[in-house]
Amino acid sequence: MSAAQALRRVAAPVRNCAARYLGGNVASCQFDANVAAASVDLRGFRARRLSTETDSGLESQAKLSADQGAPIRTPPQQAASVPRLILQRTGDPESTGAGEPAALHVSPSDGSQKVAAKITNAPKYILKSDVLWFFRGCNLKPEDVVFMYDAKYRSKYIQISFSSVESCRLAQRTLAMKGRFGGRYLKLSQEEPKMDEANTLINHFRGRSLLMNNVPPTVGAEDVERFFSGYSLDNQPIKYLPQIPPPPVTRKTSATQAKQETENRVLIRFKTHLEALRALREKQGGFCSVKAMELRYVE
Amino acid sequence: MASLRPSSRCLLRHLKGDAFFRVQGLSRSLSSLSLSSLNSWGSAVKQERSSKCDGTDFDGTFCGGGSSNCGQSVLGIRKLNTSATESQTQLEHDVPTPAGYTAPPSPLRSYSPVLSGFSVLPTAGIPAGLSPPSEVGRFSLESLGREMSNRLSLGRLEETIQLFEDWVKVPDLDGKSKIPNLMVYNLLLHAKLRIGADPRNLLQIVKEMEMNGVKPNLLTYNFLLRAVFRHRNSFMAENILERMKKSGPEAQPDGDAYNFVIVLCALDRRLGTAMKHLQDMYDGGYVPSKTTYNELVLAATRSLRTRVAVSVLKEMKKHNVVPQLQNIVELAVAATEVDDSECSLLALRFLTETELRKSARNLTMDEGSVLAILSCAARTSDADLSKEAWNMLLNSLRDTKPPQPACYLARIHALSAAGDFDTAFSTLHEMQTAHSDSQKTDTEMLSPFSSLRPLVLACTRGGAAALDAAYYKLAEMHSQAKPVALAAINCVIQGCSNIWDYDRAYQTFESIGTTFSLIPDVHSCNALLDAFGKNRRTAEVLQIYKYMEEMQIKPDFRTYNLLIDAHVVNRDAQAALDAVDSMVKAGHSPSRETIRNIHRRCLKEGDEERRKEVDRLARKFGYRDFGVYINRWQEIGRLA
Repeated sequence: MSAAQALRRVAAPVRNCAARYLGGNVASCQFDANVAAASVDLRGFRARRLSTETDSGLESQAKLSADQGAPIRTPPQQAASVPRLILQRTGDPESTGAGEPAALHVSPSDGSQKVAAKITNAPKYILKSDVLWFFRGCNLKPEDVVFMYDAKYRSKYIQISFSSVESCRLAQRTLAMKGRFGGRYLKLSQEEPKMDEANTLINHFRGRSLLMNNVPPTVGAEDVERFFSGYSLDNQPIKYLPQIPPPPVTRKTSATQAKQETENRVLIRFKTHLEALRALREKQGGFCSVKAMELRYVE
Repeated sequence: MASLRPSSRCLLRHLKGDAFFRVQGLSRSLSSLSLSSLNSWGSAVKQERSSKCDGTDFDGTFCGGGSSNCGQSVLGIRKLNTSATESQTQLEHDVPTPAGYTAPPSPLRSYSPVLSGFSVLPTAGIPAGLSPPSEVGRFSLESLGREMSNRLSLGRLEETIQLFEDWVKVPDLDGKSKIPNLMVYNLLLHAKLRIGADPRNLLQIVKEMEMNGVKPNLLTYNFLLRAVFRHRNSFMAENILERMKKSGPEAQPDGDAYNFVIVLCALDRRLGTAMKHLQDMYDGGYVPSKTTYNELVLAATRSLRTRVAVSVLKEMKKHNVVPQLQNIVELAVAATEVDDSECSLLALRFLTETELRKSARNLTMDEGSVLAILSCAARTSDADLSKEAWNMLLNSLRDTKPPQPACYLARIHALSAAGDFDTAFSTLHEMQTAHSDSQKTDTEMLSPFSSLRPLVLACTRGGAAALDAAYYKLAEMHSQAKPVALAAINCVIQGCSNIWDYDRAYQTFESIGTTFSLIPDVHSCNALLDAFGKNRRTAEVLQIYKYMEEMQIKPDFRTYNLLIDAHVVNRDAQAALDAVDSMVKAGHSPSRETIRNIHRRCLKEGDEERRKEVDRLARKFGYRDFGVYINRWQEIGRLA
């Protein structure tokens, strides 16, 4: 039984549920589930499909970034006319059966095709290491994964930048294979990175900070530092975030308006992420001034 | 043809209505015979219905609207459904309507002579176009009903409504305006529901009905509730429910009605009213459907009302209803936000013990969520919750990699808070071996001052006795050839230093080498420095520092900080400053507290030039100036 046949047999259930989880190019990905690296004609077929798709459908950032160790390189200007050359797989091309498809390590063919994608419906407290672990084998580095927040710093989605189209497809296959993560079905779809103000503001703080949400206006920086005494804070650890403007007064909101005071939001940076998580664990719900503080870890 | 079948089915249903009249005639005379036949019929109908209406999807199908065609003899019998998948009870009807849309024709097989007699009727079978309005006007109620149900089953909804309107327009033979009966009204409502009319429209029709003296029955209210459900208006639904309760026995709310209302309240996050209706439902003897329970759990989760969620879960367990996996997981995590460990534990137990087990076996939890649950267990000192969460984590990871240090630390915290030191120490050893390589980069991972502080505090809480107990436990573990983590001994030393007991601390330090045959590391020395420094035993402090150099243990920032603190306690500002210099030379910068301590010492001694030097140092390291403290001390001096 050839590797191709084995993979095809394995991929049959994947195809059925692939339609559920693949955002965007469903039709194309159904084909990809059958690909075996070993057979030449399949490779050629897929390479051709790749060239048509990447030129038309996908919103990939065509960057001339440095290639990441792939042996064969094609100049990107010729990309439109000439079908892309074969993808070299560094791992064992034989299928590993129903187990990890991610055991096949993928190296990008040409580094110019970076794919920007996003993951939605992720669990609320997911960490960056979780994302990297779930998509192991897709060549993701920690700086490729960025957590995007909305204006109120609730987690919106996770922006991932894949190094190649192939790793993006592999990620979609992994999603289809693995099913739920943290009780939810993740959705992978393509999205250009949109860095708005709220997200760039916290860039310096990512990975080892906590966000305090309901800080009363009487609490100053010293009080916040005292709240976190005993934890190793970074130099200049505290940053007050700009306040959300209160909602405009209409007939509906006027009754509750009086109760709402403007609350500050504070970012506190620790020396390491372990410290931040320890502070989150020990101080969650602790009292500062008269209120119980709600802490959130900022990835 | 496919088109034939629904219309003939519709006709059969209508005929069944006729046939029922005949059966009921029988029943009055031969009561015993009819009852049994009716009951068997009823069960057959119910069976068919149950096989079809499996998902309790009462949004789009007609399962809820289906009536039992066992007419008057089954009135007043409310069947309690104990099975979890069924939510419908048999509806009572005065008028057997052809509105039993899902009732299949199979029970009628025995009545084939009736069928054959009617099969050549021109109105049966062929889906005709609209009859001209004049003809419609002359229809009797039964034929109008037949026509309407014909059209309805073919899906021609506008025609159904049109039929009705045309019929009403034409006045009666006597010249009066015609009054439709209940059956026709129900058909009209059904058609309007299917085209998605506004519920107020339907309410208007019902008002008209009542004005004409036709009392709405359960089916009418059912259609109303469905329409309201589509528009997600829970207040309107509650009003309808109230009306149903007030009306006579033919329209008392049944399980379906309650289901609609409860789900709407849950969607609107009005949990109080939803629970009240749930209680009413139980009082009426009905059992909520799976969807109802799931929606309630979801609503409770999202609004963080964990007590409500716990009670709903308990009800579900009692009635053997299996909740949805994602709801349970979400509940387990949401409970950590309000520190409700009991709720979280219940949710986790659901995952392992009930039928969810099969789908939960392949569940991959992300470490972040498990960390949240472990942290909640740590804060509430709940060892059971931490154990469940830990098992879930190990199950998810499936040996691909060891759990993160943060998860280990949370687990140790939870165990030590609950007082289970045995497991805590063994977990500590596990962590040490699993993350031995990353310890080189992150030395603070096993430091009793920061990461393992909860363990230290737990040991210290019982005073010297608890520390001795912990030490003996470690010695026992060692004598039983179980591996003992050096970090655990470090924690004991730090615990001794917390109670200012340097003798004990030193003895424990000695025993690292003698009893446990381990080599002290930087944390052991730090803990010892802390113990001696606090007690102003500066000579010993310096000896330990020399010992560290001899043993080639690299001092870290905490060593230097403790050294400086020791000098400050010793009232020796100069030595402290020298230590600061050596610290800076080694590449660390002193902490804010340390600089402030030196500053205070200088102030108390009245040492101006050194204080200025300390100020300069503080500014060099970027700490805010201590000017405010000068004023404070001057104030105190003036007052004293």
